[in-house]
Amino acid sequence: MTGAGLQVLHATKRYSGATTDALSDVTFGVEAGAVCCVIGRNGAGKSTLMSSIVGLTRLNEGSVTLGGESLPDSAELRRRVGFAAQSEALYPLLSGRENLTMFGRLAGLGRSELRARVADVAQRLSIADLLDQPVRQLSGGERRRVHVAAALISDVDVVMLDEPTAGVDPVTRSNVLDLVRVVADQGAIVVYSTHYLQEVEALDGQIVMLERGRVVASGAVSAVLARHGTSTVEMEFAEPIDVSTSPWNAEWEGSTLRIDVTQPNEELPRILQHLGAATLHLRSLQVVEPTLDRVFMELTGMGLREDEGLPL
Amino acid sequence: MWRRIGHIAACELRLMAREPAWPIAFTLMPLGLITVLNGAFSKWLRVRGSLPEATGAELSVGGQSALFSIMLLSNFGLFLYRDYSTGVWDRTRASLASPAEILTGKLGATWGAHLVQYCVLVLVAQPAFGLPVTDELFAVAALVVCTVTATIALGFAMFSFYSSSNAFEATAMMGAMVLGALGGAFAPRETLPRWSEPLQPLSPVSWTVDGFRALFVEGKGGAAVLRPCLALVGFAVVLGVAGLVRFNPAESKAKNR
Repeated sequence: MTGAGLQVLHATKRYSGATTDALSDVTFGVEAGAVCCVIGRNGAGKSTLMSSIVGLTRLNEGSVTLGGESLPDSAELRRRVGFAAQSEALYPLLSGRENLTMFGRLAGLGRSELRARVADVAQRLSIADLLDQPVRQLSGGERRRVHVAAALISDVDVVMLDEPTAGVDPVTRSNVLDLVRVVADQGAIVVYSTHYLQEVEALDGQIVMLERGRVVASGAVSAVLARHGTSTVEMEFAEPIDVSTSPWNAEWEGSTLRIDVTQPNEELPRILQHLGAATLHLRSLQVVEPTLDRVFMELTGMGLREDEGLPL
Repeated sequence: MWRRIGHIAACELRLMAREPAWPIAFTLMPLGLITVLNGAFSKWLRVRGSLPEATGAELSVGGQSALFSIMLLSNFGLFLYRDYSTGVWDRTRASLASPAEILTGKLGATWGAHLVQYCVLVLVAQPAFGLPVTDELFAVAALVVCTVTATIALGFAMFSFYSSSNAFEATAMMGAMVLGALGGAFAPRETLPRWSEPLQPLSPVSWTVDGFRALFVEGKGGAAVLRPCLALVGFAVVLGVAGLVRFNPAESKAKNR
C-alpha cells in the first residue's frame, strides 16, 4: 500500500448510544484506475464506510487519505470526489438538468463547462431524453441514473457509488457498470458498494468484504477466491457407495457425492485412489470452482441458518 | 463561498416557486382574517383608543402578518426535512459547500420569501384597509425586516431542536396561534386575561404590534419603532445562538409525511 491513491487506515466508528462498532479497524487502499467493491449484507457497515470516506460521518479512530492528505478535512480534496449515496439524493420538484446543474455548480463548475458535462454524462447514462422532466415523474430506474449522473457531473479523481444499481433494470445496470469501467479506465478511483456479487465479478476489481463492521476479506477477486474459496468435487454414482472411512467431509445429495477440497488438482487423484473399486460405479465427475457468493456465505455465516435466508 | 450560497439560495427559491400553494395561501388568508377582525379592532380603538377614524388595520395588519409569517415557517420545514428524507442534505454536505454555507443559502432564501409575504400584506393594507404605510415607510420597513428576521431565527432554532417535520410543523402552526394570540393579533392585548400579561412580551408578535400601534394609533414618529425593533433583534439573536449551539449537520432528521 502506497501513500498515493485512496487509503483507509484503521477506520473505526461507533455511533453514540450504540453498543457495537459500525466500523472496526477497517483498513484498505485503492490505487488510481482501480475499482474497489465494498460488499456486505445489510448493516455490515458499507454506507457508514462510504460516508466516512467523504467526510459525512466522522470516524472515532483512523483516517482516510487521498494522495497522503486527509480527505475529509480538505475542501480541495473533496472537490475531487463524486459521491452518490444509497438514497436517490435529488430534488423531486426540479428536472434532471436542474439537479445536475445544481450539484455541478456546487462542485465549482463554470457555466459552459457544466453544460458540456451535463450533455456528456447524460449521453453516457442514456438520460438525455429525460433531463427536462421533473425528477418526481421519472421511474425508479430513471431516477437512479440521474442520481449516478450527479456523482459524475464534475471531473473527479474518486467516484463513490453506494449501491448505485439498487432497483434498476438489467440494461441500466449494464450501463452503470460500463460507465464505472470507463471512469476507472480514465484513471479515477471507484469505490462501489453493492449487494450484487455478479456485479463484483463483472467489474473484476478488488473487494472489501465487510461483516459487522469488520473486514473479513479483501484484495483482488481472484486472490480472495484462492485464499478463502473451497472447490467441490461432485461425483454421481450409479449406486450408493460407502464413504464412511473417507478422510474428507463428504455429503450425499441423491446419487451425487460432494466433497469440499481446497486444492482440487492435488486432492482429486487422492480421492479417486481412496474410492478404489467404487469408481466403477461412477457416472460423472466435475470440479465446481469456488464462487464469490459461496466465499461470502462461508465468511459471514450467511445461509447456514434458514431464518437468515440468502444474503444476496 | 458566496457563489455557492447564491446557488443554494436560488435553488431554494426555485423549489418554492414550483410549490407555491403555502406562500400564496398564507398571504391570502391573513388578508381575509384582517378583513374580519378589523370590525372588532376598529370598535375598540374608537371607544378605548380615542381614535374616531380607526379602521382596525392599525392593529390587525401588523399582528396578523407576524402570525402568518410564523405559520409560513412550516413551508420552510417542509423543504428542509424533505432534503433529509431524499438524501439531498447529505449530497449537498458532501459537496464543497460547508454546513454554514448550506444553512445561509436556505435561510437567506426563506428570509426573502417571508419578506415578500410580509411586504405584500403591508402594502396591500394601504389601499385595502386604509393603513397609511407610505407615511412611515422606513419605520414600517424596519419593523418588517426585524419581525421577519426574528421569525426566521425561530424557524432555525426549531429546526435545530426538532428531528422530525411533524414536530416542526405542529409547533409552527400551533405556536403561531399562541404567539399571535398573546401578541394581540386576534384582539387588543388590553382585552386579554390579566394572567397573560407577563407572557405577552415573550411573543415577538407583541413587539411588532407595539411598533404598528406606536406609528398608527399613538401617532409617534418613526423613532418609536426603535424599541420594538431592538426587542425583535434580541429575539433573533437569542434564537439564532440557541439554534447554532444545538445544530448538528450530521444529525439524522426525518420527514414524516
